[in-house]
Amino acid sequence: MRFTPVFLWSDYLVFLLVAAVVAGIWYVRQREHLLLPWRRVAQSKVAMVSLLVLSVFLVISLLDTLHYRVALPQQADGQQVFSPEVLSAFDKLVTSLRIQHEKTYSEPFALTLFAKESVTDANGHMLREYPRLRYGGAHLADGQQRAADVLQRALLGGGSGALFAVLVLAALRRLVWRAETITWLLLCILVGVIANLATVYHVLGTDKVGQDVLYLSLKSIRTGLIIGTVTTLVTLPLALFLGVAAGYFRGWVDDVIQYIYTVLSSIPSVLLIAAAVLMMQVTIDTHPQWFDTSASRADLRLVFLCLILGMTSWTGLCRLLRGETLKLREMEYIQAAQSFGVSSMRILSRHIIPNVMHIILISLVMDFSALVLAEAVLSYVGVGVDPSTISFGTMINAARLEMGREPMVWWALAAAFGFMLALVLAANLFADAVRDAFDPRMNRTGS
Amino acid sequence: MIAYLIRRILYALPILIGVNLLTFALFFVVNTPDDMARMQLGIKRVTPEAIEKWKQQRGYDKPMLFNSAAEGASKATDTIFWQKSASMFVFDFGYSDDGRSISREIATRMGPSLAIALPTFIIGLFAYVSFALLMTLFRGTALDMAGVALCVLLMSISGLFYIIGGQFLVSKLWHLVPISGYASGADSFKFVVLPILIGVIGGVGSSSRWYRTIFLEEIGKDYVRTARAKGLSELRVLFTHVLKNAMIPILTGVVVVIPLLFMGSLLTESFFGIPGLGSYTIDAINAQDFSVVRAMVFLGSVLYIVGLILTDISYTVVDPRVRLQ
Amino acid sequence: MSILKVDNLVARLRNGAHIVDGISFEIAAGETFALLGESGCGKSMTALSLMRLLPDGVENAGGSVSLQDTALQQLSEREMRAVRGGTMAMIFQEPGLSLNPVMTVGEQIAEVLELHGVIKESVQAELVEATPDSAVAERSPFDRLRANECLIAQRCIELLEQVGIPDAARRVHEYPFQFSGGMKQRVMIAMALAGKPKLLIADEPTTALDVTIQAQVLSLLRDTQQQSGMAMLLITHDLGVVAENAHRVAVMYAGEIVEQASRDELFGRPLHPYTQKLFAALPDANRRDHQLTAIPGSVPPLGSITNGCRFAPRCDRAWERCHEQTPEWTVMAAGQGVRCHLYGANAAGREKREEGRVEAKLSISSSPFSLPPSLLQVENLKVHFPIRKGVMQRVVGQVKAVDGVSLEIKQGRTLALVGESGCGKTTLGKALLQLIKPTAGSVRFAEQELIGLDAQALRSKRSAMQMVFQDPYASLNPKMRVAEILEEGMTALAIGGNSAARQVHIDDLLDKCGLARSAKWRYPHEFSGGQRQRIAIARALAVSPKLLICDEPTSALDVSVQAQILNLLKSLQQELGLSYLFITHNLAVVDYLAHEVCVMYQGRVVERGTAEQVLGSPKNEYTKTLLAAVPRIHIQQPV
Repeated sequence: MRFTPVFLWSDYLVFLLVAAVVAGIWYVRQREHLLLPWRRVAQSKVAMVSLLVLSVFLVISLLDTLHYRVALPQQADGQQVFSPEVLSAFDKLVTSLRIQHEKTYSEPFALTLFAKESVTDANGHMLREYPRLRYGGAHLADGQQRAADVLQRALLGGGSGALFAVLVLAALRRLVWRAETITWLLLCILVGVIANLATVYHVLGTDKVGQDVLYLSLKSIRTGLIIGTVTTLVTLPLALFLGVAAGYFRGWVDDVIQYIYTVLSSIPSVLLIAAAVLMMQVTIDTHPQWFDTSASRADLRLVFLCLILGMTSWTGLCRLLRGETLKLREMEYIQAAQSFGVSSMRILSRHIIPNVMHIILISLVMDFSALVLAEAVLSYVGVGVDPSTISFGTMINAARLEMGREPMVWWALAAAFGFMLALVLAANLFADAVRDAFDPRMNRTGS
Repeated sequence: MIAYLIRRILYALPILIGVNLLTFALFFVVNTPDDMARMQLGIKRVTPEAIEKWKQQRGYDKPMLFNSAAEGASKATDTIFWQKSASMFVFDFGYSDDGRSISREIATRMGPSLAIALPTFIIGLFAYVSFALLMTLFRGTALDMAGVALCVLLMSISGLFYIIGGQFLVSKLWHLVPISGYASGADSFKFVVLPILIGVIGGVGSSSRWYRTIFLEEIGKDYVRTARAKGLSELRVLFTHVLKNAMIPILTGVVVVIPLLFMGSLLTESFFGIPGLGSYTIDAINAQDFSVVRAMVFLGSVLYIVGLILTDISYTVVDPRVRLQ
Repeated sequence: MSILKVDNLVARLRNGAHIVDGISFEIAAGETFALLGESGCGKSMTALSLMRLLPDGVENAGGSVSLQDTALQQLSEREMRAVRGGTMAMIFQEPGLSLNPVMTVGEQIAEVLELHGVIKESVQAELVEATPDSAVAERSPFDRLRANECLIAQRCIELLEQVGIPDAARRVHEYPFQFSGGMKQRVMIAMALAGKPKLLIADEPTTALDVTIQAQVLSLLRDTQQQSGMAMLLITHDLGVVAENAHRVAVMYAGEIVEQASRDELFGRPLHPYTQKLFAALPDANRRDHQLTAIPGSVPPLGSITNGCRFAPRCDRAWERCHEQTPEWTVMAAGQGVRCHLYGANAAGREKREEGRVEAKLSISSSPFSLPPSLLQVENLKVHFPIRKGVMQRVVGQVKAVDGVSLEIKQGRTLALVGESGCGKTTLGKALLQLIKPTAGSVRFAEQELIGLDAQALRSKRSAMQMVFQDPYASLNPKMRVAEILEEGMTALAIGGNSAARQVHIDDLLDKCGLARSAKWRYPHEFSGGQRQRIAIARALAVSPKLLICDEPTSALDVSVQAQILNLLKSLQQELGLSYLFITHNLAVVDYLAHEVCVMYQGRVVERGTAEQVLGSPKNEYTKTLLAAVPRIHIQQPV
C-alpha cells in the first residue's frame, strides 16, 4: 500500500515539544543539582503511578500524530492520487474500531441496535424489533452465549496482558511488588482485556451515527493533550520574556508590560476566547482556498485555539514571574554580576531565568489539567475545536442532545467523562508531586 | 489612602480604553464588515448588494476611523469606531441582530443571573473556607489527607459532568425539581436551588484546596508561634489570628469576582434555561451576533475593573498597613 | 530552690536524628541562665521543647521537664495551655515577625490577660473592697464584664509603660508595623510579662536589633527580673550578652551541653576545648597582629556522630578515645560541669597528644607601609531617593540615605565604616561601585573621577573595585558551578586570557581562599556558610581588584567561622596589598581589623580617625553611645 506522510500544523508543534522535552531531559541528566528535585518526584509513589497512566495517554496521542494519506487506485495524468482522508498510525492500529460502523446507537456490548426498527421478515411481514448489529457480537449465533463469550475473551486478553507485563518487568529486572509495577500490571491487563474484546464488540457502545465510542474516546486524547501542551508553547515565551523583563528593568518597561497584561486579563477569559474564536472562524470560513483537506482545516482551527488560549492565559504566569524577578534582582549575586559589568541580557539568561524555571515548570504542569477541562467547556459553548475534530468536548456536546431520550443514552457521556477524569486526575496528581518537589516554600522535614 | 484610591480609579480609565481598542481591532480590523457579512449570508451565493444591505442594517457602512465625507465634528463621530466602540463608554451598546436594545436586555437579564450567582458565591465561600479550616485544623492527619484527596478528585471532574450528572440525578431520577426553566418571585426557588447546589459543589475541589494552602502558609509564620506561646487554644489561634491574616490573600481572589457575578455563568444558565446574561452570551455566540458579544466583552472588563477597585478598598478594611499608610 | 528542672531532655526529627540530645539543667528563681551556642546547635529547639511547641516534624523523645514541681510532659494539652503564657512565657528572635500584623498591640496583650485570668482575681478583690456585700450581688454580670474590660485596657497601658513605651495610652491602639524594631521587642516583653510568669524564655531576644537598642532591651529585661524575681532562660550566641546578663551558663554544641558553669567560672577558666576556642576566636584589638584562633571545619550534620565526642573532628586535642567513646558528664569543683575526656576519671593518653599541639597564634608583621598613597577619595557624596505621594505621585521629599559623605582609603589599608542598620552604609558601598547612581559628589579612584563615566568607560574601571556581600546564601547563584561563578567576572571584563589561563587562575584563587580545587565543579548548595563566603571572596578577587568593599561579610556567620574569614581577609591583604572598605556594625571586628574608622549616623559621617583614636577616645556623642552599648567581657581572661 502506498501512502504519503502528512504533516499537519499541530504535528509540527507536537514534534517540537517532544524535541524540547528530550533536550530538556538530556540537559537535566547532565546536572546533578537539576536532577535533585526530579529524584524527589521519582520517590513519590503517586507521581510515578500517575506518570505511568499519563504515558499510556501520551503513547496513544503520539501514535495519533503520525499522519498519512493512502494512495487511491486510480491515477490522474500519471500522478498518484491520494485519498482526501487523513489517517494516523493509531487509526491503522485500530482499523477495525474505525471502520466497523453500525447504523446508529447501540449499548456497550450490545448485539442489537438501541432502537426498534421496522424490518420485513422472510414472509414479507412488517415487524418492529431490535435489529442485530452489523459487527458488534456478529459472530454469536445466539444472545445467550454473550456472557460466556465476553468472559472467555476478557480472561484471554487479560492473561496475555499480564504475561506481557511480567515479561517486560523481567527483562528490565524490575520484578518487584511495588506500586509502580502493580500499576503497570493492571494497565497491561486492562489494555489486553479491552483490545481482545474490542475486536468483536463495541465495548463502550456506538454513537448516533454508529461510530464506536471507544474509538472516539481514544481519538479525543490527542486533542486534549495538544490543547494542554501546545498552548504552553505560546504562553511560555510571552510570559517568560515579558515577566522577566518587567521585573528586571522596572521603569517604563514595567509600566507598559503591566498595562498590557492588565488589559488582557480584565476581559473575562471565556468572552475573550469566544470573541477571538468567532473572529478566527470568520477568517477560516472566508478563505476556504487555504486548505487542501478538511483535516488540515480542522487542525488549523485546533492550532489557532491553542494560540488563542495561550494569548489569554499568559498573563497569570507573567505576573508570577514579574514578582519573582523583582525579588531576585535584589539578590546579592545579581549585584555581584552588575559590579562586574555583566550585560543585562546575560544577567537575565544566566542568573534570572535559571532561577525562575521552577515556577514555570510548576505552573505548566498545573495548567495542563485546567486546559484539558477548558477544551470540553469551550467546545460545548461552541467556541472550541472544529465540530469535525474528535474531542471530549464534541463528544459531550453530541451526547447531550440525547439527554432527554427515554431510556437515556448514557454511554457516550460516561466514556468522555471517564477518560477525562483519568487523564486530568493523573495530571493533577503528577502536578502536585512536581510542585511539592520544586517549590522551595514547601517545608521538607527530615532532609 | 484617598489619594491611593483615586489613583487606582484613574488607572482604570486607560485600561478600559485599551480594552475598547482591543475589541475594536478584534471585531472590525481582523475581519472587515464585508467578511462578516459574507460569512453570515453564506459564502457561495452572495451579491455585493446583499452585503451592502447587511452592513447598512447594522450601521457598518461607515468608514472605520475617519469620515472624510462628513462635516465638522462628525468627521470623527460618524464612523464605526465612534458609533460602535467609543459609545460603549456611556453604556450605549446599540442593537442586537434581532433588533432589540442590548442595554435593555442586559438590564432585564441581570436579575436572574444574580439570583443564581450571588447565592452560589456566598454559600460557596462559606463552605469552602469552613472545609479548608477543618482540613487545616486536622493537618497532617488522615482526615486532612482524605480531604485533600477528595479535593483533587473533585477538581479533576469536568464542570459539565456536575451539571449533567446533577440534572440527571435530581431532576430526572428523583423528580425533585424541574430540569430547567425559570420564574420570578417566590416560584424561582425550585428553579434556582439545583443550579446553586451544583455551582457550589463544582468549586469545592480547587477553592478549598487553595484556601487550605493559604491557611497552612499562615500557620507556619512566627506570629502563630507567639500566639501559641501565650497559651491560646489551637481553635482560637486558627479563628482569630490565622483567619484574620489569611483574609488578605483570600480577598485578592474573591472580591474581584463579585461584580462579575452580574454576568452569570455561561454553562449553568444555558443548561438550566435561566434567562440571564450567561445564556444571552451563549446564544449570541452560537448565533454569531457580534454586537452582543462585543457588548459583553466590554461590560465584563468594566465589571472586572470595578472588582479590582473593590479589592483595593477591601484591603484598606482588613489590612491596617494599607489603611494607615 | 529551682523553678525549672530539666533532666535528660531529648528532641528528635522524624527520621530519628537527635536535635537536642540529653540536656539537663536547673534554673532558680531570680536567676538568669544562659544557653550559649552557635547556630544549629539545638538551643532554640530546647526552648520550644520546654514550651511543648516543637514545630511539625520534630518530636519530644524523652526526658523530663518540671516547672515549679509540675511535670510538664505529663500535663494534658489543656493544662499545658494554662502554663504557656502564664507560668512560663517566651519572647522570640524576630520581633517584626513574631507579632500579628493585623491586630493592635493592645488586643494582643489583652489576650494574655483574658486567658490567664490575671485580671479577674483583681477585679473581684477590688469589688469586694470597694462595695459592701449587698452591692456586689446587685451588679449585673454585664457590668462586671465591662469593669473587667476596662481593667484589662488599663493593665495593657500599664504594661506598655512598664516596658518603657512612651505615650502608651495612645500607642496601645496602634499596630505592630507602626513600632520600630526595638519597640516591637518591648511589646513582646510586655506581652510575656502580662501573665506574670515565673520563668521567661528569651530566644535570641536582641539578635535582630542594633547594638544601642540591644543594650536598652537587655537592661529592661534585667530590671524586670529584679522587680519580679522571675527566672530567665536566655538563649544566645553572643558571648558579650552572656557575660553581661547571665548568672550561670551552659555551652551547647551539636545538641549537647558540653560545659556548664557560673558566669565567672566559665569566663575565668573555660574547661571544654570548644569553649576555649570560642573565646579565642573573638576578634579584638589585643589580637590585631595575630591570626585569630579559628576552629577548623564546621558543625557536624545532625545525627552524623553517634559514637565519640561530637567536637572531636574539630578539636586539636582529641585523641583516639575521643572518636570512639562518648564522653561522660564530669562535675568539677564548685558545680562546674564538662563533657570531655580531658577531665574524665580516666584521662590517660591525653598528654601524649598535647605535646604535639601547635601554637595557633602566628605573629604577622603589621602595617608595612609608613605613608601609603591614597587609593579612593570620596568627596561630599550624596545619594537621595525621592519620596512620591498623592494622586499624581509628585516628589514631595527626599530620603537622604547618604548625605554628604567624604572619606579616603589608602593603599593596602582597611577603612571600617561603622553604623547601625539604616544609617546608609550599605547604600554608600553600592554608590561607590556605581551600582546605585549617586545624586551628587565625587568618587575618585586612583585619581580618576568615576561619577559621570559612561557605561563603557565604567566597565574598564570595574575590575579595580569589587564587593563581598553579607549573606553567603544569597550572594551565590545556586544554579551555577563554582568555576562558572568565578569565571563570570573575567569573561564580562574580558580579562584573564584564554579559557585555559582562566582555569589556572581559578585554581590559584581557590588555593588562596583555602578551598579545595575540586570545589570548582560543585554547586553552592554543597558548601557551608563559611565556605560560601570564601567563594564570594574568590569571585571578587578573580578580576584582581585593588579595593574590596566588604559589606558585613561575617555578620551572618558563627563566631568560629567569622574568625576563619577574618584571618583570610587579613592574610590576603598582606599578600596582595589589598585595600578594604569594611562595612560593619560589629565593633570588635573593627578593633581587630581596621586601620581607620568612619562612624556613620543618619547618612552622615559623624566621626573619622584611626582605629585607636575613634575606639579609644571617641569625640562624638553618638560614637560614645555606640561604644558604651557594646556588651563586653570584663572578666579576666586566660591568655
